[in-house]
Amino acid sequence: MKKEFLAAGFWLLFSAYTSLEALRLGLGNGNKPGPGFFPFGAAIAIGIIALSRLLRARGETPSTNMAGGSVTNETNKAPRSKAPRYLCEILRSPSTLLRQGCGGFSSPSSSQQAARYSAKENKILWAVGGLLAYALFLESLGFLLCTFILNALFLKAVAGRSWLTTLSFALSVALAAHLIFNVALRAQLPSGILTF
Amino acid sequence: METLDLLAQGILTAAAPVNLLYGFIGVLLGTMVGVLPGLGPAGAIALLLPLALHAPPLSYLIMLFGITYGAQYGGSITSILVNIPGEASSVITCLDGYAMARQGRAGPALGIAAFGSFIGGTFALFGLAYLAPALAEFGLHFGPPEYAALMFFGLTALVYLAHGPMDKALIMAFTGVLLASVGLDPVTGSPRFTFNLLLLRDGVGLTPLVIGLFGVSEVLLNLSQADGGEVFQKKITGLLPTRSDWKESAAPIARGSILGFIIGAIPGLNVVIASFASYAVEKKFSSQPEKFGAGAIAGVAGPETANNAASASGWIPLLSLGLPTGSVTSLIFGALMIHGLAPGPLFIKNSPEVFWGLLGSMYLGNVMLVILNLPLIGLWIRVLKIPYFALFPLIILFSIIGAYTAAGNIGDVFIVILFGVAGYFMKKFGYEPAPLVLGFVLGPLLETAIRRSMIMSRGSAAIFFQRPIAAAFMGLALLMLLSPLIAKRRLGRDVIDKLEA
Repeated sequence: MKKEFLAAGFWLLFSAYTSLEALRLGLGNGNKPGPGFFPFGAAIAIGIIALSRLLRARGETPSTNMAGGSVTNETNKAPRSKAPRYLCEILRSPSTLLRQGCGGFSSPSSSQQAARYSAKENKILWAVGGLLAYALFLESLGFLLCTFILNALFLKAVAGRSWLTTLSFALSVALAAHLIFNVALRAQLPSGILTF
Repeated sequence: METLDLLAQGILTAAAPVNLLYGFIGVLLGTMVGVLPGLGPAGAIALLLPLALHAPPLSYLIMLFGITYGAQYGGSITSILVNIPGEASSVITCLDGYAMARQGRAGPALGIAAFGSFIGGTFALFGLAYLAPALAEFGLHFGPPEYAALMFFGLTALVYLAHGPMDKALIMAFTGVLLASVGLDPVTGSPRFTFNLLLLRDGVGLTPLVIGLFGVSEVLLNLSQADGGEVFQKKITGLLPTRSDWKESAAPIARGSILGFIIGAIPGLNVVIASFASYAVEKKFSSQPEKFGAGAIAGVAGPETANNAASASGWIPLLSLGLPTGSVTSLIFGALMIHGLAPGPLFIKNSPEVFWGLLGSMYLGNVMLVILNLPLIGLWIRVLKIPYFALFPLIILFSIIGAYTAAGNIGDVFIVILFGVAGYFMKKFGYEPAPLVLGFVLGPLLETAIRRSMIMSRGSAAIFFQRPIAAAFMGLALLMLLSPLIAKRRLGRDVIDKLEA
């Protein structure tokens, strides 16, 4: 299973780096544990578990179930008990259900769903990109301007709304947030190039 | 009698106008996040953590507690009306609650859910009032090895009972421990994992971490998910259950109260398990089990009572021993620490007004929820109709403002984004964030307790197995960790594989 393999590989690398860093910090001894003692133990534990997952992922066949976003091998297994199927599905992943509703137990796998999946991944890229830009320019451009641009980006690029909805929503949210946090609560948010 | 007096005093403290106001805001916000599937109580508390420095400690904590049990009420509303549980603990309510709504009995379903929640919450509150101080008294005998073993047990219990595979939860818990070690070493003062960045010298803050993991990541995840179901359109009438509804619900409410209380008080078990266990019990006890899933009021009354009872008793390990048992309790643990109220066996003794005030607020909060929520059903239906495109920018905005204003540091906003993206991938790959947060919160305490124990024993780890209390906790923890291996060995690999297939 490719995703499981990738995840296990990531954790193994993470463990290798952090354990080496912990070793550099110094482990000390039993009488007097050093600053690296505790992180080293945690890093090694992650490494052992990741290695076991990596070995298991290598020996498993690929899975195609993409429903619910939680692409784990465990979610694809059949219920172990004689309990009704819905109970097993709910117990295994209530968070999936929270987003899909109780009618969404079955997995509608189709090419259409794959296309929708990719469009939604694009939305996430826009959202994360917008957030990073917001953090980068918040102090120079200021809260009001950045909040307006971020909300406009969210509504146009992520939610696909009309320009009228986008601009009116972004403007009203930015102004309301400025009035509430900067003016009323004096939250010391950066004013940037707009000095009010 | 002394306990009842203290509880009455707590109710009086909670009834002070400022506390009532914060409590009201808490239950209202809680119901709202319970109604809206995009943000859970952990996310809401994470967003409100920065407020900790600006609000009176007790009032602020009353508000956070209000969010937790308010969310249980809100979750049931969406389960019954839309067939989408606002909270995981209300998942099971969908089965009979929504069926009742389709039969034109949404009113009695909502009514019995609210009354059951109130009764369950009140019952658990009395249990909490009697049990927590006794447990705290017992905790006073703990030294560093016992604390280390207790925290290890708490972490293991959460990992053992986490959704999904145990090894993934373990990775999360250890990652939390590693993240907690970023910053200056508590003993030697030397920097660890700081990459020479000034921002990391004080460590990763709990506030940006949880805002990222529970606020931003949830938004990103929702953007990649299918849209919600259709909102119930029929007019809701007759919120008060009839005499026959009460007759059918009385025993499930009584059983749900006891079951929920017991399950909630055990570290690692939670409100979700309580509601499922109650449903299973009610189906077993029912003379007409075939009605379950088709609109049986007992299938709403039992689980809704149990989840609220478990929500209240879930505070016992935290308030008596200082042991958080999940993401919400970890966040409250953090909030207590921000106010200098160290949770642990001495908490009740050192801060009785806070402990009893919180208990009193839980009772008043439950009363508020019953009085307010039934007439406000129409409002919550309107809240449900708010499109997600208007909600997610606001959640993101509150996340950023919360992170930035906590310390006035833009670096914290980057940390929020980093953990927002990390949380998104974690959830996509089936890694739950709750063990990470628990590991992060307990990490420094666990490290200090282990290092002190090692110094006490002159380097021998046997100290954790030589003292009876520590040995008991370690034994239980090891049993949980090794149980999958033991099961495999006893049953044989072939049997396990067949069962899994």
